[in-house]
This record gives sequence, C-alpha cells and structure tokens, in this order.
Amino acid sequence: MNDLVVETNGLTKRYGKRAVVDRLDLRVERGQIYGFLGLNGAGKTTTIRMLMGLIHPSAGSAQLFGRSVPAERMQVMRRVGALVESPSYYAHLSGRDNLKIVATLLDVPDRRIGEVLEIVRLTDDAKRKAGDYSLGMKQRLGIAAALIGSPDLVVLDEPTNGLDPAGIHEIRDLIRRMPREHGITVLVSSHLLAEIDQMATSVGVIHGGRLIFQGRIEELRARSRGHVRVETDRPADALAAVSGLGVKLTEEGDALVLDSTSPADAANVVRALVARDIGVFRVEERRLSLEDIFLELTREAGAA
Amino acid sequence: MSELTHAARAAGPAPRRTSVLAYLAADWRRMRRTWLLPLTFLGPLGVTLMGVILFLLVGEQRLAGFRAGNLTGWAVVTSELGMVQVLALGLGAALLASMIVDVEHRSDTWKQMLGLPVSRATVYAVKFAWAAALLAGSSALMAVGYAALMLWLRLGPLPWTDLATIAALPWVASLPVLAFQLLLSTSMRNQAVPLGVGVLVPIFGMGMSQMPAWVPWRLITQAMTVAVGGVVAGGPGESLTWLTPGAIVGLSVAWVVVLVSAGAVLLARREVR
Repeated sequence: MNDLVVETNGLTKRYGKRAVVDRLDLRVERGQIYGFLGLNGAGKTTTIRMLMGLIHPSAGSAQLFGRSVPAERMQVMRRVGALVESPSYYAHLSGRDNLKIVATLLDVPDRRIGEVLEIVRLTDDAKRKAGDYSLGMKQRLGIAAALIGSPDLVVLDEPTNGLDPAGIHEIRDLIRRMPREHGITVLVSSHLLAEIDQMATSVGVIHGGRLIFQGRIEELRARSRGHVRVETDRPADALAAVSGLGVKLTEEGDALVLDSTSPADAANVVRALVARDIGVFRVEERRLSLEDIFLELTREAGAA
Repeated sequence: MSELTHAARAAGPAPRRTSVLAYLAADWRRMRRTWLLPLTFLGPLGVTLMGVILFLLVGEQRLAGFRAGNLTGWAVVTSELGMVQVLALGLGAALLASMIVDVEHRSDTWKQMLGLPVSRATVYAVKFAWAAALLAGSSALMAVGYAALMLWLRLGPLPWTDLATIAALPWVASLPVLAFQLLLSTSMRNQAVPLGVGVLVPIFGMGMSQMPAWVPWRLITQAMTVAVGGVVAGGPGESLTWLTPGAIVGLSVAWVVVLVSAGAVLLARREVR
C-alpha cells in the first residue's frame, strides 16, 4: 500500500484559455507537513478547492488516500478536514453552535466539540457569537471545524492570513503538533516562505499554476549552497592566474566567483593570485537566502 | 493538552452515511436566531390583523349580507382576505427561500459544508423541506386566524372542512413557487433578483388571469378560489376555477419534483468558489 495521502497527476484547471492550475503533480506523504508555497494568485486555493471536490478539474486527476476526488468524495472526506480560504462561520450563532452543525453532519459525539474548542483555545469564548470574534478567533474556529471529525489529513489554506504575530505563532505551534502527536498529515498553503520554513517538512512551490519545486525543505535549502567572491585589482589577468587550480569558478563582472565555500579552495585561489602579484582586496562569502532561492525559482519559471 | 483525535478513529475509514435527520438537525440549528421563525408567525398574524382592521372599517355591510343570508360566514371572512393570503404566500415563499440559502451565501459556508462528506442533493432537498415546513406552519396559523375572525364576528359554527382546506390546499399550491424561488436564490449570491421576482410576479400576477392555469403563481390563486368558494358551503368557487383540487395538487407535486430535482442537480454540479 502506498503512503501517499495526496496525489495529483496532471491536475489542471482552466478558466477560458488561461490555466490557473497547470499539470500539477503533487505528492504528499503520510505524516508530512507539506508547505504549499506560492505568491497570491499562483493557484494554491484553486488546487485546494479541487482537492476538496468543490470545483472540477479541467484535466488530470486528484486522489486522497488513493481515492479519486470528486468521484469518491463521499468515501474519503470523512478523513479530511479543511479550512479553505477565509473561515466560514454563521455570524449569528455562537462558536459552539457553529461547531455543533459540523459535528451533527459528521455524526461526531458532542464531547468532541469541547475537545476541539480546547485545542484551539476557544473554550472561554465558545458561547459568544462567532460574528463578534476577532479575526484570529474566527481562524481558530475554522481550524476547530477542520479538526472536529478527527481527520487523518488536514488542509489549511493560508491559516495565518491577517493574524497578529502572537496568533501566527499559536497556529504554527498547533500545526507542528498535528503530525507529531496525532499522526495527522498536514497540507498548509502560504505565500510566505519564512512561515513554510518554520513548520513544513516538505514543500511544493507553485508559480503561475505550475509546480516548480517539490521536495524536502532541506533540498530547497541545499540550493542555497554559498559561493565565494574574490575581487582583485587586475581582473583581466585574474582568471588566467587561477585556471590551473581545478577549482570551479566563473567571472562575474570584475570579480571571480568560486562555486564552493570550501576553505581550501578559497585559500588556493588567493595564494595563486598573490603569487602572480595580483592584488586581492576583497574575499567574501555569499549565501542565497531561502527568499532568494524562492525568487530565483519563480524568476526561472517566469522566463521559461 | 487535549486530544486531537478520539476513539472514533479506531473504527477506521469505513464510511458512515450521514442520516437525513442530521441534515435536518443541522439546518434547524442554522435557522435559529434568524428571522425565519418569527416571519412564520408574523405573516399570518399580519394578514389576520388586516382582517380585523378591514372589519372595523367596513365590516357592517359585509355582516349585513351575512345576516340577510346572502353570504355564508366563511365567505364573509375569506373573500377579501383570501386574496391577501395569495399575495402573502407568494411573497412568503420568496422570502423564506431567500433567507434559508442566503445564510449560506452571507456566511460563505457553502465551501465548508460541501467539503464535508455530505450529499449536495440532500443538502438542497432538506433546505426545500424546511422552507416548505415553515410555509405549512404559516398556512396552518392563517387558518387559525380565519377561525378567530369568525368567532370574533359571531359568524356561526366553525366550518372545519373549509378551514382544513384553506390551510392545506393553497399551501400545496404554493410549493411550486417556493421550489422556483429556492432555485433562483441558490443559484445567485445577490438576492436582489430572486426577491425582485418574488415580490413583483405575485403583485402583477394577481391580474394575469390570461396566464395559463398551470403557471405556479396561478395555481395559488386557483387553490384559494376553491378554498374560499367553500367546498362545504357550496359557494360559487367551481365556476371560477379551471382546475379541480385534485388537478391543483397533481400539478403542484409535478412542479415540485421537477424544480427541486433541477435545483439539486444544479447545486451538485456547482463550482463552489
């Protein structure tokens, strides 16, 4: 039995001629916190709506727990809890009554309402009208609704949108606990790399509807392999001076750029330059931040 | 820290079907603290109060007809108010249909509810059932209103069969309008169009006797004509209608089946954004 909780193959959604989601092959494994990263309008919410069976794909297929959506939606949705885009709530009803409606439809015992209220820390406000909640509380109510059926997969679409730092921290904490303490797989979308970086174990980067990276977050970080930049007073001669060293490097403007950050390589290059009487006046290590990688990825995808 | 999971998980992923009762209960909870329930009472109360005012103003001449034996007591209270009730049923159907789905539009809850393992067709049918039930409540209360007026005006013994007929037949005949309005209100977010249709068609439709008899709004008028004419009292009703009570019920059921099925299919296919 395969351990893929979410699998899409060539998943596509077109509105008119424009492909909002373009041949997406998502792979989310059991126990992962999968960060679904992309700028606003990249196609995250559209993808999630297709996964939830709310809209129909124009092409391709989506499977949750090996069952295709929307065809086998009824069989699989009991195992899935979701917060799609802005939280949905009946403003005229209390937080508890809002959860009671979901609990009734899922045939879940009433005590479960108290449990999820506790998890999202809304117990004290359960009797207040949801319409009077702060944005953070509404968001937490939405998460409580997603958790009420004790799902194996939780899908959260931009769960920290519009929250203050304390609220963001709280939700991030909650998400991190889900796989660890309860074996829940989480698919969480965000347009903020830093946020995904802080909670996700795997990441999928979507840009212009296309999945431009998918893998462990470490792999993404590995791309940030640094380089060393060496500036000299005779750039014209510098490259020739170090060409025999077996160090991978390129010229970038008036500087040499080493493709590694190995201390030995840097030392060798500097030694060779100095031996040819070339003045070295700056040696600096540069690292791409995750943000730079993200921008680079999206730029590459934009150019392609 | 409490549990994110509970024992039900151990039961495994075997799908349990949500019972229709759960749908009904969920919708009942949604309707609480809305204007839906007060409206159910206020509608018939309003029409009855109109009757009171009517009789306080021009009651003597109507009562004279009754005393002279030209009018039955039933005809005295229903001949004018019946037409008001026709209008109220049309408007009420539009209002109930709009409110019962607008709560989902406004709360943006379609995406949450339809993301649950629920049947969209059942969701739709249950909304229709609740709106129909509320309208039935209003119709029953309206019959109580007529009875109260008759007792107040001392118009003789209560005609139970007529009261039952006026509670039931116009209600059945109003269900096609309700089904049509629910279809409109569900398919568009902005309720101005459905409410506009719901208000204007009954008002202008009152005079549209040239419209075919099977048009939903006309069905209500004809049902009322039968009820007011007095099945028991043997009033002039028969000659004013084209359809027998049986035909009215049959046509209404047919309309409901067609329109509710169409609405359910539309919701099932709907792209929920």
